[in-house]
Amino acid sequence: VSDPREEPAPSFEDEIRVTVRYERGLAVKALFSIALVAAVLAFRVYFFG
Amino acid sequence: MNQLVDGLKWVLVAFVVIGAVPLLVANYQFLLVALHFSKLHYAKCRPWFPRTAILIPAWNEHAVIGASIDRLMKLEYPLDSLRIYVVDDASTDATPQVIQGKAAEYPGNVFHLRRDKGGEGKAATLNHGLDIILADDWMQAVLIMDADVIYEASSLRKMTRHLADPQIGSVTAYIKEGSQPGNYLTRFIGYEYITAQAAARRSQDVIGAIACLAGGAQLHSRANIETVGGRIDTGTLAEDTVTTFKTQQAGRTVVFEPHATVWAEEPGSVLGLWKQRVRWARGNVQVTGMFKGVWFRPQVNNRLGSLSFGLLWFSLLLLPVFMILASASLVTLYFVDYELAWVAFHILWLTNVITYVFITSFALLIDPATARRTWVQAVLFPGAVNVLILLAAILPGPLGWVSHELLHSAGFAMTDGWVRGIVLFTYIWLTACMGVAFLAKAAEKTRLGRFLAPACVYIGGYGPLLCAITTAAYIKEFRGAEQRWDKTEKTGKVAVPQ
Repeated sequence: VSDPREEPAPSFEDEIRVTVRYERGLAVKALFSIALVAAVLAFRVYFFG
Repeated sequence: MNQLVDGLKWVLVAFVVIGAVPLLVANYQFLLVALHFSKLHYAKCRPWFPRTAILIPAWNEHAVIGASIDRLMKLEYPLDSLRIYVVDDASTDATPQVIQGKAAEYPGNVFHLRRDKGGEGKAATLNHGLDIILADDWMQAVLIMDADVIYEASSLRKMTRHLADPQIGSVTAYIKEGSQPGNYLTRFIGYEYITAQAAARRSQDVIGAIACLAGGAQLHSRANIETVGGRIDTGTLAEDTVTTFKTQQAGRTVVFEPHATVWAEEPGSVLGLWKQRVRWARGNVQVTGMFKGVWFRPQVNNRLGSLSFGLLWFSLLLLPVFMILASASLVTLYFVDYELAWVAFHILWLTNVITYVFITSFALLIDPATARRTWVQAVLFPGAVNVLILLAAILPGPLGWVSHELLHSAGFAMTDGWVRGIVLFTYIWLTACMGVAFLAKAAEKTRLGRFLAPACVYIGGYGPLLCAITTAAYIKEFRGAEQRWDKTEKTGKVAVPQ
């Protein structure tokens, strides 16, 4: 079996960069969701004990 | 005697609190998603185009197979490194003619493999194809997919780039529900797939153990498929999961590529969904037994035995058990110690509120495109009644006032008896919501089914529907019911959003 053919892919680095940025963005989105939970709990405790 | 009753009370409280464990595990799973960026495999990726054989099992797929092949031929992939083998499992419709037509249209790229004796299931069909593909040395990677799945143009090359690292045995993609026009149920499934695929598989990537390669998108290196014996397991209903486990047990890594997107047609009816998911759930029960030596036993060459992976696996598998146990304990406590039951319920429901807000909001943010189509189903995923109970936990005053006014306008007073009745209903509903799923299934067969079934699913919840199906699967499996490959009917409704 010969080695798999390698194709030039000029956009490969850019594509990976965008993908990694998206994955890092998920951490920020998770923080937003955690903040939302905290806000709901704070609302509940503040107004209704 | 008093000590015995006290002891019983605390056992019941413990059962209720244990009911919160799957919720805590679900939160843990989604927190792992946030860490996915730290476990990406891209540093070892590069543009990589192995000679890939695409293997498609097909039984009576004339409505979808032609479009699937056309889309595959438009993949961003060198055509001389691509072969499509459609294993026709003795189809009795126009499937052979459609495949032969495509083979003539794309000579050298599309091949029709006919089985004269069919009906032995998907795994046996795949093995027929694997025998032929492995017989010569052309193939360097094999992509196993379903006949209805539509691949986005970049999806295959995004998967194969991981195989540049010889440590990687298999790669799976993000399967999205793509029925156009969809209905309420396909939109529920669309949202479910954000949680069960986009999120769950990312978290498994972080743990280092993948539970299952999606049946519609599993790419294997030749070395890997040979290492697992060159065969797909035919003894269970979860052949994809068995292959995934065997790959990891052999010391190879399985990767989820969330940016390789493929679109599938999922059931648009409760009956269709029931059939499909009973098969999946029975398969998972079988896999649990088949790999009983794996659970919670750390291994050197794979992470299947890790505590995290075991918790994820069993919290999902045993979710109905936890729900029924918590509900039954609360109802018993209600009669034994009303106040203690209320405290235990608060602990469970506070965990539920946190889980609901965190997972729903985060899941919608993970895949905003799907979220725009499915946000209503996301909000109502636990069912309208459960959402009302969740709201009551957050807004006890205003909802108490609304209940009071509603009863008053109907000529009733909010007495202590009413309050206790509502509380008892709430405890029972934890399990009763699963019963509504059985009603949805029964209602769908009636003349008013097209209205009653959606109403039942919206009221009882899609999540509880899945729990009910899992319960039905347990019963079938433990009764030793006949193991059948009930193929999900596909009609060619999938369209890739532009």
